[in-house]
Amino acid sequence: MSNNSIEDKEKLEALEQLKLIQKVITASNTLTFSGKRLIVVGILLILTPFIQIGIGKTFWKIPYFIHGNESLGMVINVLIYFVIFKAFTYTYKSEECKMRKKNTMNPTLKKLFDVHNVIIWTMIALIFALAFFASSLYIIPTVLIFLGLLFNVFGRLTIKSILWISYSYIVLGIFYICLGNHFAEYSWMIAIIYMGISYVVMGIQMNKKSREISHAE
Amino acid sequence: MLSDVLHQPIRTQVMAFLVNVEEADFKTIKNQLSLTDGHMTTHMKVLVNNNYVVVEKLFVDNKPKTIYKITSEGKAAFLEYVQALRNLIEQE
Repeated sequence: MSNNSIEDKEKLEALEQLKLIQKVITASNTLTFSGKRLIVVGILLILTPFIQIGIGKTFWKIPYFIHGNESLGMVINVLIYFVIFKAFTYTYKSEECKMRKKNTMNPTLKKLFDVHNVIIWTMIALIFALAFFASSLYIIPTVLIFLGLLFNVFGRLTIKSILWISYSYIVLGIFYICLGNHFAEYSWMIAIIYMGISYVVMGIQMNKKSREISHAE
Repeated sequence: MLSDVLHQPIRTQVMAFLVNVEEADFKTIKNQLSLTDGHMTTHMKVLVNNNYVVVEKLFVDNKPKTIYKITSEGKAAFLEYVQALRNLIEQE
């Protein structure tokens, strides 16, 4: 065998090893997120407008809420979603919790999850503040921009498609602010369905990536 | 010159995984990298003997648990190995 072909073989082998290392690291970070859980949440988000139509036709027809108890009604409306989401996602317990327990998580990701909790609670508080003291028109853009920023960070540590989805959330959030009052009746539905579809896409990608670890050899 | 210890696909995977998560138990490494018990025992022994990984045996809920932690020496060797791979690819 000539020297050149030995060198080429070594280079090829080195490249394969680097790819293998990259694959293992990305896949082990991806395992932190449960693809199945993301798919379940995505499907629920896609169904949300239809659930809300159902709630509108039943719960909001109760005379007590029609006549001056909208604030309490809104809280109950949110609680209905909380219960539905909790019930459906219970089956897919957060991988993050399991991995924290096992202590098998990238230390940077661990810190990011701590920041993630602060961001999520800030977002929830902001949603309530906007709903009660400012304009509910800004709820959807706020959620999109907050989630966009969060996924942007996670995307950098896991898979590229999450990064692109995060940019689309931020752009869509800003677009919704510009849209203001126009099509307010339907625009939230489109945003929620878009979020649902993107969650399903992220879930499928996550599952695919985390499966790659078993074929990394 | 590439390290003989690290230039082996299974050991490369184990080290890449441990560099990323710092420590993990036997079962987690085995499941996440789809390795057999035999592979695990053989290759972990090599990594422990070279002081790249330390082993800690614990009892959790009365069950034995083996935890592997990457050492600073192991981390440095792995980074050096990755750099050596890059150099090999880049050389004319």
